[in-house]
Amino acid sequence: MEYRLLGRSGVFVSPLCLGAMNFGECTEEPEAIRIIHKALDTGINFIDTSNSYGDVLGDSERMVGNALQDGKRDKVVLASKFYFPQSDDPNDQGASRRHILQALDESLRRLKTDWIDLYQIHRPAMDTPQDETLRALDDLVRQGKVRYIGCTTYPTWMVMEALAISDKCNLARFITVQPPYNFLDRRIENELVPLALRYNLGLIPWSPLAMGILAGRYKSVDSIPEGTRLGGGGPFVKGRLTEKSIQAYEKFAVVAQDLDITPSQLALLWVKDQPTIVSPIIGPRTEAHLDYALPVLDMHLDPESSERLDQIVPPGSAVSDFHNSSRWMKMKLDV
Amino acid sequence: MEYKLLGKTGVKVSPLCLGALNFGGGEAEDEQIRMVHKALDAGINFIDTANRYRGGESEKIVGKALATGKREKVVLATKFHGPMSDDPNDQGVSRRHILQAVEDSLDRLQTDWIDLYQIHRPIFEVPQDETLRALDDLVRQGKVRYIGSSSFPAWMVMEALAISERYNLASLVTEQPPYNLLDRRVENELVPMALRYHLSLLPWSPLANGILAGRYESADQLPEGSRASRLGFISTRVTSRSLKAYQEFALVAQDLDVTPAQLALLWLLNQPAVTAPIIGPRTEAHLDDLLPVLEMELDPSISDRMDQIVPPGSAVADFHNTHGWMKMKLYP
Repeated sequence: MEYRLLGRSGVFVSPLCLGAMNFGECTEEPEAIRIIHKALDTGINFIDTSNSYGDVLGDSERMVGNALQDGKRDKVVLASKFYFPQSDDPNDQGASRRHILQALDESLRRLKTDWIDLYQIHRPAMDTPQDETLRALDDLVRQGKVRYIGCTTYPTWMVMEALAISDKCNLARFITVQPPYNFLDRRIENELVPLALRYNLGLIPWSPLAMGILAGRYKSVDSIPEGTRLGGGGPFVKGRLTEKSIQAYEKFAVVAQDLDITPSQLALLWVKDQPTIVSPIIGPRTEAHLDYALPVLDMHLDPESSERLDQIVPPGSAVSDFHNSSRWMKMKLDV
Repeated sequence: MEYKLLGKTGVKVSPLCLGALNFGGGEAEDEQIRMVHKALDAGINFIDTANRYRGGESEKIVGKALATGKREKVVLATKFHGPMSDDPNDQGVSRRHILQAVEDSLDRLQTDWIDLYQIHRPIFEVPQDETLRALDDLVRQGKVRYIGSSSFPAWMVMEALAISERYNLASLVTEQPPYNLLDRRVENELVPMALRYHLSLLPWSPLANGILAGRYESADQLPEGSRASRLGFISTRVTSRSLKAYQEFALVAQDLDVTPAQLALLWLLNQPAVTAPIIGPRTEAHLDDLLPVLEMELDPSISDRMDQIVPPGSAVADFHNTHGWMKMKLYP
């Protein structure tokens, strides 16, 4: 299997990253551990979690930590995140030095490890000067508790600002950005992708299957199957499950059929082989979900299919709004 | 009239900037010079042109209009980047071209200095320190007072600011983006960045090619002689969606007893980070319609009604289709 450099570092990761977002929410611990072990057995060496995942906050990190006992930790490139509130305390959240130092120790304890490979800011903290955050993260790198740093769902200009601050103040710099990116929302191709190309940032997209829309999970805007994540009626559903996104899915599925692979496989494959992408983050709820994804590790997208897909959702465009949980993107698509 | 600070400079400019995009001499030369004088008489002190507008004719008209002792009170902006001949080096953002282009613009403008010298479009392949060092030299030589950019992605403005700080060079004080009620996409990245760094935004196409002035009634039948009937990148902006938005917008203007064009400007010049929209009148009558905006104030409750028509950060017409970096297609 092909391993890829993680942005501007010397670290190699698998071209799919196992996301632990569902662990401790839809997925109980025994199955979560089976999923992790199966992923590692097939060659995936990259796991992403956050201190905010789990119905009980931190349960996702705990399950990952338990799964990596017995000597499995050393071969894994382990990513986690901070930013979202951990309690009612107004300082138990955000991107301050005070919170970061606390949050990191708690994540290390739950993950049962001495170091995190990639420590990421989960959302931009617009009101916190970025040198505050970057200095704290740099200290963690120097202390050996963190190997590299990254950010998630940032506006492009703030990634650029952070790179400039790191350069000017001689601090550790972001090597990755984790944006929302899938075939139904290609907007990062306008600003973030050109920036990533110039500065050798690795992109590790979230929601590559578009919450299952690209897996064919929804037949219409009105009939949301029970037990699906969109069925939970989260606040972001309305902008994502749209007529246009279902129409786009139907055309997309024809391309998948012609390639003799499943739509969800094509969705992953498409993201995986876009410029600047290192590893899309897959978030399987069940072992069966993982089984569908694994063959993609060895697939490559041919240019003809890529062009066909560009006809359905053109470069830089969107028919479904995966930036609506970003806290900064205001754009509505259905106007 | 309230004059506003231009970015983080101490220079004050009128809240409307006279754009010379449509000035090209010929039979209309007298009218165009009268328009410049009329704008100055009304209190406008900010004029924007570019070396490539009408192959340099626009700069010449502006120069002529200001030659009779009017230059000193005007904050004069122009731009470089577009090709001025077939020579592959007679364009772009290299030191070589910039040093030539500024002399040519100064000649046409009949002046010793340009107040705001702007990069007309970004060029990704050229390291920005090449461009910024050349512009800094022009500032130190006294040929240019300040520098700005036009139609840049927000991250490249941010990159330019960081390079200027790092190497102690003159830094961008303005950015000139496409921005109007029908295309509000700059509100997602550029506006927050501009607010943080005290950058002035000088929106181009504030009337959305006249769509917001009621120039177009249907997407199928474009008026003869209109720019949309001649230019493909403009006709794609005249859609059923953008015309529907215009019709809702025109009702607000009616309620306020102002013309749609006036409301389009008034709304835009009161948006965060905006210093002065650039108006590009073709005729004196256009200008006459717009000048009263200088003395108008916006009722803050109007913003909510506008947000209902086109929500913040959103777009119903594509005004980012004249530069290479924005690929996004809007759906009709």
